[in-house]
Amino acid sequence: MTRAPMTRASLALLALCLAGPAAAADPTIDELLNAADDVQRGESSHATITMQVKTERYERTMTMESWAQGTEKTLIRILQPEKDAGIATLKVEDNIWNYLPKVDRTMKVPAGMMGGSWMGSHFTNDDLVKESRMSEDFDGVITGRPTGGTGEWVVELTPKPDAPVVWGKVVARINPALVPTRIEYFDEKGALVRTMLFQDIRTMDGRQVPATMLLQPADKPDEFTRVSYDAIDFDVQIPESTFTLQALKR
Amino acid sequence: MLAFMAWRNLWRHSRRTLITAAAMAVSVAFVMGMLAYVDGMYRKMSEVMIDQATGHVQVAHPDYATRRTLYDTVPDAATRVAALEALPDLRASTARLYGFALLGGAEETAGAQLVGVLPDREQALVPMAERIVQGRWLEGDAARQIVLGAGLAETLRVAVGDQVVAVTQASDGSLGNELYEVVGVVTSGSVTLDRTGAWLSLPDLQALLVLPDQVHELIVLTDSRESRLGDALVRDAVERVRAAVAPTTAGAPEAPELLIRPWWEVSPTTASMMTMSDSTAWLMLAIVYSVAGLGVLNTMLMSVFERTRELGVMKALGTRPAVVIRLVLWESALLGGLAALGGLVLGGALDWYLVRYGLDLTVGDGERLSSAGVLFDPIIYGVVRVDRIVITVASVLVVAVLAALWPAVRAARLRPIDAMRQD
Repeated sequence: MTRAPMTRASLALLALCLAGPAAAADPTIDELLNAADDVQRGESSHATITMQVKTERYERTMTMESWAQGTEKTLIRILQPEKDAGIATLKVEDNIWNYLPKVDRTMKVPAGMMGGSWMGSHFTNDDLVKESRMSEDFDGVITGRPTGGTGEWVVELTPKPDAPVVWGKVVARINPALVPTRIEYFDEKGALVRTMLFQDIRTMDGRQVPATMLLQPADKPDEFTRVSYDAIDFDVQIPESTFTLQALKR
Repeated sequence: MLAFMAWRNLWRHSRRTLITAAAMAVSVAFVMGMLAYVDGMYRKMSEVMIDQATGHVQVAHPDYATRRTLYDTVPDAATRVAALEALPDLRASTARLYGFALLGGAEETAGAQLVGVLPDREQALVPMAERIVQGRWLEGDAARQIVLGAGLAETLRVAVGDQVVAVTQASDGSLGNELYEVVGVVTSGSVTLDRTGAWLSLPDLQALLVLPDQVHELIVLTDSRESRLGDALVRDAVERVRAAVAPTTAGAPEAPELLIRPWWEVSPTTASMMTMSDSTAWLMLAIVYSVAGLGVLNTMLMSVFERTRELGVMKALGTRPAVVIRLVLWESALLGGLAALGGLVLGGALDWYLVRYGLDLTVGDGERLSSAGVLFDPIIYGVVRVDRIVITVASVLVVAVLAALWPAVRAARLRPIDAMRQD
């Protein structure tokens, strides 16, 4: 399944576990990752999302609609609040464009600003792009597994040499039902930078999905970005023209 | 009588006297020219770095000095600007708001440092209109208008009349975006600002960043031109500004104590640069005058040695040692006076040249002189200050007298018997 973009980041991690040597050595893991990979490669999705951002300076809630095709193409359109309604983000492969209805302009996010915040949240533009690149950029090792029906899979990911990533290490936890529960991001010195929690796991459109994702920066305990799926449909037909600059304006 | 005698003595060796006096006169002229140059540099620095950049007194949020974040603003800006305007004896005052945004032309995008200004007030501090290379400076309420640094306009491939869109993360987390018409392209005077700077009206930037009635800096210029470190006028202005802007309007939720600083605290770099060029000038003066002093010492020693017999006779005839000392000192002082006169003429010519044509510091292929990212006009024009000239001329007289002390004492101590035996 492709869920909306943030969830897919986690699923990409699972995909990369599949690619990792440890995964290949363990048939059980293989199954786990195959399952995850199937989820990851879900053809398409269409979702309604609520994003709540709380920072030291502001707190805002936005609702948006998203369409995704594979891992490469995503379109997100803001519905609320009024001031931002109609602002849309199109991601195709490594590129991100924002459409600004107020000035009726489409602007490509330049390379230098990929590390900047996406819509004032704790997610960066880079997070949107890199989600489909985790398996390319990281090596994975399984460092923990559930025993006797309890516990979780723990996968430790280290960036491949020369991989263009900002993290020194990423640790993902996946429950026995193959749904991710927590991903921790560490910097190059090994210090925790941020934690993504997957909560409220429930069945939506026939699949087990975490309906809420919570991203918390480690250095600012009071801040967070919470993404909740109000509705999600998998494997829907999305015309190819949806992911074009022309369509971005609609 | 003694002075007349001394004057006559000087001209007994007119060539030697003239050469020594000429050497000293050149020293005087050199020091005068150097001080005029240093003062010119000083004026330029104060114009560029104080008058235009920091102002004499700056009001900001207490954290603005160290953090400079979007949120470190001064609230109730309009009220405070009005309060500053009401203060008497100030040359100018204005307010500025800074922000970073992505600017987009028809094809290209680039990051830009936005400066929200009150156009007319800004113009009173910084001659923006004179620096416009295309179009014009912001005028009237300047709504939806923008002036771009020349380098930025080039990067964006836009010209006057084109539109640019600005996108930024506003203070409330929303995606601030607005369209502006390019009305002017400017060469700002700062290397960095030319490449990334863009100016728009304060209300426009406040709207874009969602910072209603807030600014990052309130700037005040006092009547003090070429303000010095610790300037009393500026110190006084700091207190007056504090009194004027400190009271917060009723109902403002815990408004922060504002940081009100003189320019030397806002920009210690400027302060130390000025102190340094000042002390360099005085050091040069000391060196040049030491050399000149040695020349005088040599001349006077020779003059005294030559006249050993004569001085012996004078003493034998009852001239008191104090009178001999005064005679020699008079000679040296007159020599110094001659040098001062010559120096004034020479130095005056040099100063006139420096004031009129300046000293071109253009290096190599016309690259411009910059310091701390601030671009200087490469021609430094001299500034003539009467107090400097008085010091220069007075010092040469003092040096002449001091240098002649030893020869004078020697002359006074001559024993008539021994002295008269000499050939």
